[in-house]
Amino acid sequence: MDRLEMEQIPLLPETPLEFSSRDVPLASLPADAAMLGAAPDPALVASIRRHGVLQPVLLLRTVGGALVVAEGRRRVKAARLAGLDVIPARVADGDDDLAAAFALVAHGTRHDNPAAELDAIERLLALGATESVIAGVTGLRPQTIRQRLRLRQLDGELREALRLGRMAMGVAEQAAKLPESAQRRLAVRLDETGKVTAADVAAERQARAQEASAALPFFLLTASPTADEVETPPPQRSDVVFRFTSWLETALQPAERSPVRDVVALGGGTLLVQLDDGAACTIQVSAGVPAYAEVA
Amino acid sequence: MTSTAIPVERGCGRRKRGGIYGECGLSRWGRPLEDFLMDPPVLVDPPALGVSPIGVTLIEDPATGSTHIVDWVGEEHYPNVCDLLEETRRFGLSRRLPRTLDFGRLDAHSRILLVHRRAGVVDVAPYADDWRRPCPKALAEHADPPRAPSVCAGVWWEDVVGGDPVEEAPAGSPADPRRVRRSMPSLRYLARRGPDGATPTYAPAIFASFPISRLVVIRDPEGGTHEPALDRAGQASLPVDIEDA
Repeated sequence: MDRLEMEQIPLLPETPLEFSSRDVPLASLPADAAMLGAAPDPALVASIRRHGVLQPVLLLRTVGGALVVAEGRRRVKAARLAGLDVIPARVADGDDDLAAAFALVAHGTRHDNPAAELDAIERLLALGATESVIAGVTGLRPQTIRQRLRLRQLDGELREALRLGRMAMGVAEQAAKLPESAQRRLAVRLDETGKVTAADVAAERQARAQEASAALPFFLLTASPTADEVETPPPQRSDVVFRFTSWLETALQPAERSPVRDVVALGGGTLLVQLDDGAACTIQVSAGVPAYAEVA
Repeated sequence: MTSTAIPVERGCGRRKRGGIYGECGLSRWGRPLEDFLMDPPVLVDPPALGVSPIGVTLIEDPATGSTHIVDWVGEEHYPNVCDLLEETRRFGLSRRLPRTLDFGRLDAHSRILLVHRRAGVVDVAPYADDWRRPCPKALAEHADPPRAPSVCAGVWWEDVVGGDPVEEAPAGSPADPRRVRRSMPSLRYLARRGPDGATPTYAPAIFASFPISRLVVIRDPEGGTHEPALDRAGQASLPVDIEDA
């Protein structure tokens, strides 16, 4: 089947379907398990419990008389959970295939309008409603409400751009975090190019980060020891050991022996002296005074 | 020889297989922890810097070109600044780094700059009447910490949250109703809770700056996730070791 043939398959009728509005018993609709889609949001259930189903669902009646849900499956499920018996519906004749096509059309034409939602939320807030009350009344999730409210930080022109669809929601959310001056620059860019993109916002964020980091006192932040300095070699010998080593080397010089490489306390007043040429000797120390040396 | 941190359970848990960790290890000949404290702490604007409690951020010193890691120490695991500092004093610093980090920008001059939401105490007046901790860096200007011209890092030990009250006083010491014992997964230490009724204002600040002695990749015998992690860490001009969890 080539592309042309696929496009010619009549998924939707040539003429609009004739829908009639009526209340339909939920018992006459397919069981939840028979309908695709996730369980309804608890907020939707709460909203329906309180207000009923505000928007009718679309149903198609098959030749056999069965009703198929073309659009509004979550509302049907939520209405059942809310304890309703009947819901408002618009019903037309059709079949399962037509129902699927209608569902796609409905989902394809439906999209979020965050700017409009923000306007509505702000109106309700102005009336004295709290965020939780708005969530309960509208069915919007609390996090969605908070997400929308963060858009209040948007510059007026940018907010209008969001409303007109010249800026994506994700871009608007990021832009709202920028300081006023950066948002003004984005608004200028909007005037010039007609849109604000994620790359524009990212560039502003990066510029801001560079500005902020350049203001840090790096001379203080890097003043403490470096990794190399932390890894300093073993400490110098103490003065006592240094003096003893110097004395010993002076004593050994007449015998033309090598310089002292290390002195290790063996306990009991005995020191092991290692020389650079590999030789070693032990020295017995009494009251801090070397008594004798014995070549090992 | 590269100095290493001690792999114990830390405030943020144990090392994860396939994880990359930036360490400032302990050394027999090392420097005291206090050498690495920022005193006073350096206040920062996290959103401006692009720093958040999740992940880390790289910043570049415009004067030297060196890149440093800004790492936000989360209160979820370290409610107090000194929780992490006392852990580091005993076991060295070990901080997990995301694999997505641009390791190629890190070298021997890079540092880990630690940020905590409570590191910048904006007003130390609530502590003025009963401050016992001397300045950790013994700064002359912090000889009288609560009245010093800048915030003394000692405040981090004067204002801990959590911990169990310690009734007994050490021999020869006056009783201290504010003394508490903080318990972290691998250590306990003594500090003081804030004064009753004190409501200090905090600001995020850089409280310590540590060099990076090495990167450690944790072996993942089953999943093999350490292999790509090794590749990533290997892009840094730093010693890289692989170890078991």
